[in-house]
Amino acid sequence: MVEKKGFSFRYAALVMKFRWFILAFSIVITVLAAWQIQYVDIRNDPDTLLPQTNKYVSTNNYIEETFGMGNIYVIGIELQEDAGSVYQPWFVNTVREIHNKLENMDGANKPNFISVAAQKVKNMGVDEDGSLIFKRLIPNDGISTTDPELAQEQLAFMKEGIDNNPVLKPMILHEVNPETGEKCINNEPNCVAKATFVIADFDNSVKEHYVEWVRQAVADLEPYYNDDRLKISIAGEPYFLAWMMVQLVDHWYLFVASVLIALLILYVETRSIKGALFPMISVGMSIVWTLGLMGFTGFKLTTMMVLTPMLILAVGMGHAIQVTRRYMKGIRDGETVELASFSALGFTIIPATLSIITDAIGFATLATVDISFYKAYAYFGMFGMFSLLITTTTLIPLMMVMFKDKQQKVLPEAYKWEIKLGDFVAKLLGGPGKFVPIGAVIVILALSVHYTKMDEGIANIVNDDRYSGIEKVVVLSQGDTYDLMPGVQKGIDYAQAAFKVQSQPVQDIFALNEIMPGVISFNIPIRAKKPLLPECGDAYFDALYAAEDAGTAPPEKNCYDPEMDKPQGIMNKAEVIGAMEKMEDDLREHPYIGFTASYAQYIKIANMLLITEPGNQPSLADFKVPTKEYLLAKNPDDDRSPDDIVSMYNGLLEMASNPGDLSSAVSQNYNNGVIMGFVNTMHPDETHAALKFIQDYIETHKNDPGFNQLNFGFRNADASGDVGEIADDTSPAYITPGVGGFLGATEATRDITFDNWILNPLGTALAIFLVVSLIFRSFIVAGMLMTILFITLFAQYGLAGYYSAQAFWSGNLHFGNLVALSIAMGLGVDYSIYMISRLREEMQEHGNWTQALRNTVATTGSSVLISVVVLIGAFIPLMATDLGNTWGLSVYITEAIVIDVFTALTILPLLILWTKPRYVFGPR
Amino acid sequence: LRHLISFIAFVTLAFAGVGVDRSLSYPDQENPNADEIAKQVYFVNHQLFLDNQILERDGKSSVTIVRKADGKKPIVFQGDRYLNNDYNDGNIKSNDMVIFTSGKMKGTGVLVTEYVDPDRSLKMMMWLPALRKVRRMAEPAQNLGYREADVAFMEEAKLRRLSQDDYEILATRSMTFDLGMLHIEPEFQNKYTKELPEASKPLTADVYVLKATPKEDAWYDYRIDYVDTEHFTVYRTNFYVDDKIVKIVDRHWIKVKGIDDPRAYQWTYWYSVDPVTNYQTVNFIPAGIIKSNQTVNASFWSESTLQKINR
Repeated sequence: MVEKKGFSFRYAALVMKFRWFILAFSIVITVLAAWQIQYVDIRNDPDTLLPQTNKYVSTNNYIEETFGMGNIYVIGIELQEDAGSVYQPWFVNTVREIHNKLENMDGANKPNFISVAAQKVKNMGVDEDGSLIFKRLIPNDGISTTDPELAQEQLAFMKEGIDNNPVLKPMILHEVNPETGEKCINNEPNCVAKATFVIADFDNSVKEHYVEWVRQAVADLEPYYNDDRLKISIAGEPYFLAWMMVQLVDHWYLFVASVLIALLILYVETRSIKGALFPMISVGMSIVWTLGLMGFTGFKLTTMMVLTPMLILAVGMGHAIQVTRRYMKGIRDGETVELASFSALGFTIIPATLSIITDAIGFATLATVDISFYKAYAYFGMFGMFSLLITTTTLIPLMMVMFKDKQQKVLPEAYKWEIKLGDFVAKLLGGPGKFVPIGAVIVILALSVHYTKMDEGIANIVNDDRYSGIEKVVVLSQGDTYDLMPGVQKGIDYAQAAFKVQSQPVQDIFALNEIMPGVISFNIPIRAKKPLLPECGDAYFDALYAAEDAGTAPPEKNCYDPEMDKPQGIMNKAEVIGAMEKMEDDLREHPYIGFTASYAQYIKIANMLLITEPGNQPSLADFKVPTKEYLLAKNPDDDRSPDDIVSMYNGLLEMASNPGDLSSAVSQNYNNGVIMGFVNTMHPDETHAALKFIQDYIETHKNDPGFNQLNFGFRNADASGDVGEIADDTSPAYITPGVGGFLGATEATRDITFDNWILNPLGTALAIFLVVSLIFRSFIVAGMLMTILFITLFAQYGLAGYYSAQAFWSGNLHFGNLVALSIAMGLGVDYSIYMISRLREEMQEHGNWTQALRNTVATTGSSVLISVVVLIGAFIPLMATDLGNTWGLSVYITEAIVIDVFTALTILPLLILWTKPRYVFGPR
Repeated sequence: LRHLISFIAFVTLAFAGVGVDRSLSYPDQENPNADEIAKQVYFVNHQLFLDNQILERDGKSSVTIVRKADGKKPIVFQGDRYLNNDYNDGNIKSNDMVIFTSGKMKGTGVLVTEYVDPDRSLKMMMWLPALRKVRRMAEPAQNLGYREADVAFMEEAKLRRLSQDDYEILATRSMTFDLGMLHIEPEFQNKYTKELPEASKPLTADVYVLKATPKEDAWYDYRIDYVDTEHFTVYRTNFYVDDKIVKIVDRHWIKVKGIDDPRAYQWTYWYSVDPVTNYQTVNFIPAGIIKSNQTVNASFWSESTLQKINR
C-alpha cells in the first residue's frame, strides 16, 4: 500500500477544504474570460508574422509603405476553349462589370487597379493625322451591344491599345498559339487572346473584416462561375488569408464533432455522465480562459492559433482521463467518494504537474523564435497548459465530491481489453517478442535516414574544408551553408503551406500561374544614396534678392530652387533609368522570372511615342530609355541632354496621370523607385534560385554607372544598414540587400527555418532533459526519455523528407510545420512520465516487474491509448478543412504522439528494465 | 495628356460651343429658360467677351495649379498663357498658347487652335524643349472618367458641348456660398503654395439652380450648377453619382476691367475636392497679372514662337 502523505496529499487536503471557493473562483474567472473572447483578434496578417528586423521583411514593408500594392487581389477571366477570343463585346463588358464590382468594394485602392477597364490603362499611340493619342481602352459605358459596327471599332481600338503597350500587355492578357496551344509571350503574330485579368489593390482596412470582405468578393463573382463560357480563377493575399478564416468559420460543426467524440470516449471510459461531463466542463474552462487571455491581450493571431484550444482539449482530456481513472480505482477499491477524490488528487498532481511542465517547455522554447505566431503559441500554450492543473487535475476530483450521488454507485470493473493489453505487452516484452518493437523503431529510423538523406548531408559536411572543428558545428547550426538533411525541404510554397493542394485556392493559383507571367511577386527598391536638398525658403530668396539689388555676390546656396535648378531626384537621371532598363532585360532572361516592370517602362513608352518623327508610327526600336548610348546610336552628332529628356518625360507623365497612377512605381520626390516582377514558379528550390539570381545580379552590377548612385533593399531593419560594416563588401560582416514581395517573404521564411530547424527542437529537448533530471533526480531516466524523444524527432524529420520527396508542400518542414516539433516533444514526453510514475507506484506496491508492467499498461497505458484517440478526435477539425497549415500541424503532432505512445508502451519499459533506475526500482 | 490640356483649358476658357459664339447677347427676357442659361454660362466660362488675354508671370505672381492627394505633398505647376479670340477668317476661332515656367515641364509649350467648324477637332501642338521638337497631340476623349482628377473643369472649359447635356432649372433663390480652399500643412508649404489666396468670405447671391444631365454615359449621373442670375457666373458645381456628391467645384470671380458686359467676369481661383478621397486641386490666377485686350501681333500665336522657347 502506498503511503498517502507528502506535499501532494497536503495539497489535496487543502483544496478539498476550500473546494467551494476554488469552484466559485474558477467560475468567476471563466465568466470574465468568456467576455474577453469577443476581442480575440484573428487577422491572419503575414505582415506581422515574420520578424520585422529580417531584411526581406523590412524591405517589403518599405515597399508597401512607399509604393502600396500590399494587398493585391487577382481575378483571372479565361474563355473556355471553344468560346473564341477576348475581343467580344459580352466578354469585355463582363470584365468591365467585374472590375467595377471590385472597385465598389470597401477598401479598394482604385488608382492601383489594372485591367482593360481601368482608367489608367490606355491606348497610347498615333492617330491617322500623326497626332499622339491617349485614350481609355474601352468607353466608360463598355462596348456597344446595340451597334455591331461600332462594337467592332471599339474592340479594334482596344486591341490596338493592348498590342501597342509592351509594359501592360503581359499583365492583362493571356494569348495562345491556336496551332500549338502554347502560351505566346513576345507579341507573336496570329496568337489568340484567351484570358484577361483584373488586378485589384486594397488597403489594410480589409484586414479588420476579412470574413465579410471575402464573402462579398466571392458572392460578386458567383454569376461568372456559373457562366459556361468562362473559367474564373482568383488569387491574391487578401483573398487567401481571408478564405483561411472562412474555412474555420464554415467548419464549426467539426469542432462540435470533436467535442462530441471526446464526450463519447469519456462516457464509454467512465460509464458515467458525470465522468464525461466534469472533464469536459473543466477542460472547457481552460479553453475559455486561454481564449479570454488572447482577447484581453489584443495579440494579433492567425488561423494557425486554432491549434491551441484543440491542444488544450486533447491534452486536458488526457489529464482528465488519468485523474478520473485514479478516482475510479479508489471507488473500486472500496473508498468513499471523499477519499477516492482525495487519493486521485494526491496521486495525480505530481505526474500531472511534471507532464504539464514538460508540455509547457515544448511551448516555451518557441518564444525564442522571433515569429509572432511562435510567440503566441508559447505564451498562450503555456498558460493553457498550466491552467489545466486547476481546471482538470484539481477541479475534477473536487466536483466529484461536491456533486456526489446520494447513493454510492457501483463502478464496473476495468474493460477486458485493458487487462488483455497489459498481459500482451508484458508477455511481448518478456520474451523474444521484444524485438518486434525494437525492429519497428529500427525501420522508422532507417526510413528517416533514407528520406532525410542525412548520410549525404553528413558526407557533405565532413568533406567540406571551408570550416573545421567547432566552427563547423556553429555554421551547421545556423543558416544554409551546411544542410545536415538535404532531403528535407526547409523552404516554403506559401500557397500549399496555407491550403491543401486539391483546394480551390491552390488549384486557382496553379491555373493563374499558367496564364499569367507568374504569381509570386518580388520587388527591388531603388533608393538614392544622396538625399534631396530642401526647397529654398524665404530666407534664401530674401538674401538673393538683396544681393542682386546690392550688386554683390549671391548667398551660398544649399537648397533647391524649382524655378532655376534642374529637377532633383535620382529618377531624373537617364543613367539610372538606363541601368534599371538593363536590369529588367537581364532579369527577364532568367527561366523563373516571368515579368518585370518599373518606372523605366513608363519612360520607354514616353520615349517611343515622343521621339518618333511626326507622322511616323512609333517603333518598338525606340522603346528605350533615352540614354547617351541610345541617342548617339541614332545620331552620332546628337548633343541633346539625356537627363533633360528624362526630366521632361517625367513632367509630362506626372501631368498626364491621375493621383496614384505613378505612385506604385516612383516616389513623389523622384528619388526612389521600385523594380517589381513575378516569378513563374512556386517550387521552394526554384523560388530560392530566382531570389539568389536577383541578389547576385545586384552584387555584380552595383558599381555600374547609374547603379553606383543607388541603394537597393535593406540589410537590416531599416535604412541604417546602408552604411557601416554590413554595407562594406570587403568586410566579413557584409550582408547582401534584401528583396521584397512574396519572394522576399518566402526567402525570409526559409532563412528562419534554416536557423531554427535543428536548434529549436534541440533547445526544447535540452530544457526537457534538465527538468526531467531535476524532477526524477535521475540522469538515467532523463536519458531514456531523451532517447524516446529523439526517435520521435528523427521520425518527424523523416516525414518531412518523405513529403519533400513527393513535392507535397503542405507537408515539408516549412516554418508552420516546424513549430509542431517542439510542441509534440513537450506533449509526447507526458506519456512516458505517466508510465514511469505508475511503474514506480506499482513496483513499490508489488515489487514484481512483470506484475508492475502488466498493471501499468492495463491502467495508465490504456489511458494513454484513449488519450491518443481523443487527441486525434480533437484534430478532426484541423485536418478536415481545406487548410494546409492546420493539416500539417495535425499530421506532425499525430505522428509524434503515435510514436511516443508506441515507444512509451514498449521501448521505455525495456529501457527501464535494462538500466534499472533507482527511481523505479528503489535502492538496490 | 488630359491634365496638360486641362492646364491649357484652365487658362484659356476660350472655346465656344455649338450655337454660342462671341455674338451671344445678354438675355433680354426676365426669366430665361434652362437652355438659355446654359448658353450664357458657356459664354462666361469661355470668356467670349474678350479679344485676347495675357497672363504672364510677374515676380512671385504666376498662374499656378496645385494638386494634392490626401496626406501627400502638393504637386505644383506654373505657367504663362497667351489667348487670342480675335480672328475673322472664318476658319480659326481662337489660338491659345501656354508655356510652363517651373519644374520638370519648364520650357514646354503648347499651342491649341480651335476652328470655327465645331465638328473639327482641336489642333494641339506641343513644344518639347529637351527633344527640340514639336509634337502634335490629338484632342482627348471625353469619356476618360475624370472623377479623381481636377479635370471636371477641363470638360467644362474645353471638351463639353452644350448639345451633350439636358438642362433643367430646379429653383431660383438666394444662397450663401462658403467657398472652399486648399489647406496645406506647414511642412508641405513652399514658395509657390504660400502665394495661394485665403478662402474668400461667404458670398450671398441670387442663383439659378441648374441641373445638367449628360445625354450619354459619363463619369457622373448629373451635376448641379449654382448660376448667378445677373452675371451667369457659376459659384459652385456639385457632381452626383447615385444621388451622392462625388465632386465639388467652387469658383471665385472678379470683374474683368475695361469691359462693360455684365458677364465680363473671370474666376481667380477654382477649387475642387473629391469628398471621398479628399483629392484637392486649386487653379489660381493672381488678379495682378491679368492683362486683357492687349495689342499683340497675331503671328505671335505660331509654331515658330513655340520653337523659340528655352533655346
